[in-house]
Order: sequence, then C-alpha cells, then structure tokens
Amino acid sequence: MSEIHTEKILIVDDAMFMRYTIKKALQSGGYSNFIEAGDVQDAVSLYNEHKPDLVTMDITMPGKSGIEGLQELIKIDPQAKVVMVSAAGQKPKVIEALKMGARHFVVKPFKEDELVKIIHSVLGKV
Amino acid sequence: MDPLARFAEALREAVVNVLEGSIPGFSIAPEPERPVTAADVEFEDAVFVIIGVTGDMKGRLVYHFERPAAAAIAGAMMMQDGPVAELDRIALSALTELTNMVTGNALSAHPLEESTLDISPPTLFFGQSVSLSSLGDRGLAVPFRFAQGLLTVIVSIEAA
Repeated sequence: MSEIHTEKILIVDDAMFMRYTIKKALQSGGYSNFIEAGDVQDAVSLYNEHKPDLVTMDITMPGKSGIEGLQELIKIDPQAKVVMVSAAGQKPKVIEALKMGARHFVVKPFKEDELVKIIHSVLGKV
Repeated sequence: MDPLARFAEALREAVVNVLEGSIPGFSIAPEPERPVTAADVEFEDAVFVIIGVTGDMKGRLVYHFERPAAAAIAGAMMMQDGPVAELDRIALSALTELTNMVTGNALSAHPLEESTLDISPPTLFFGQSVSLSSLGDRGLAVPFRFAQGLLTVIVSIEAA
C-alpha cells in the first residue's frame, strides 16, 4: 500500500479525461488532495485561493496556453512548483517552460509510476 | 519522400505507440491499412476530431472514428472491461486526448523532429450523416482497422 501524502495538487488541463488520468495516477501514489482547473484563468484564481503545493500544467489548451499559465503562476509565486504535461513533439515548448521556471515535465502518454516519481521528486520526497 | 507520405508513415507508428503507451494490456491492436488519396466523403454515425498543424508545415488532421471503434477505444483508455455504453463527455475527452497524443507523437518522429511544428487544441464533433469536404486540399486517408471498426486519419499538410 502507498504511503499517504497530504500535499495539495492543482491539475490544470482542458481535457476532462487527462484530469481524471492524472488524478488516478497520483491516487495510486498516495495523493488525495486535488483541485482541478480546465483553463489558465481558473488555474490562477484557484492558485491564489488554495496555494497548492504543486501544479501540473498542460501545454496545449484553448485560450491561454500552459506556457502563459506557467508565466502567470511564477509571477504570483516565484517558488511555484509547476510540472508541465506535454504531448510528444513539443520539445521546444518544454525547454522554454523549464527556462521560465517549470520544475519538471512529463510527456503523454505516461505510465502512472513515472508521473508519481516526478511528483515525488519535485516535492522533495526522493 | 514527400512530407505527406512521410507524415503518414510516422502516423502509422504513432497510433500503435500511443495505444500501447496509454492502454494497459493493449488488447485492441489496430491493423494499419494502405493509405489512399483522400476524397470528399459522407459518413453515417461517426465521431470526428480535427487538429491543426502550424510551423514549418501547415495543415490539419481529421480523425474519423466509426462509432463502435470509438466506443471500444474510449473503453480501453478508461480501463473498462469492453466498450463504453455511451460516448459521454469523459469518453469523448479520452478520444480527443488520444488524437492529441498521436499527432504529437507523429510530429516528433524522426526526421520530422528537427522541424518547428505545433498543434492546435483538438475540436470534436459527431453525428449522423456527416459530409466531409477536403476543400480541394491534397490529402491522404490513413486507415487503421480494429476488430470493432475503422479509424481513418485524413492528413492534409504541406510545407509552410
């Protein structure tokens, strides 16, 4: 059985299925405290309200992109821990995000334990 | 090889890679069929997802799922035992995400990976008796046969 982790995680993705998949993967790793946003505007508002310990941010979203979302979160909180979720083929955007302050990235499709390892590592649990 | 044929080849690998990567057990393997020149067509009861491509190449991909194939793929992605009974919001979201991952995977395939390319968020629509026009663009239809039905990806891209 997984260790229980109490950190609050904000999942930002326009696709309901990806929010469900990320939540399910992190639940398998012992996380249970989630907030969800379908776009950058909601993400910024929820970040201000809940001050999550970590954010997973999709790159390709309608309206503002995940890169713009990252920029806004870093502006609010330079210490924000943001993990970018990208499709394969978005290497230049991932590099741009890491330069801007994203802590890590994961490429879809990913295995549950791969995502959990990344989240553990960004939260300093390894 | 011209960009369209090259992309069609990358796409054939991407469909298998993504299905293997996102579906534990991967029990609904597709058989890629020979690409054919795309033409204006009419479809009965189908699900479509359109993704735009921009950058060094421009154009779009139209993913056409026959409904039984759509239900089987969505069910597998959601780790259900069999096809989904209804293509509800989360099942449709699973299908759009699949097309997002497949397109990204195909774009990242060598030798396309040196190109600067980006994709638009997917747009999904479905219904009965849908007519699809290529608007005169040159395109290839790349079919994948599943036991439950056909997925056809219509690729219309060219150098920008």
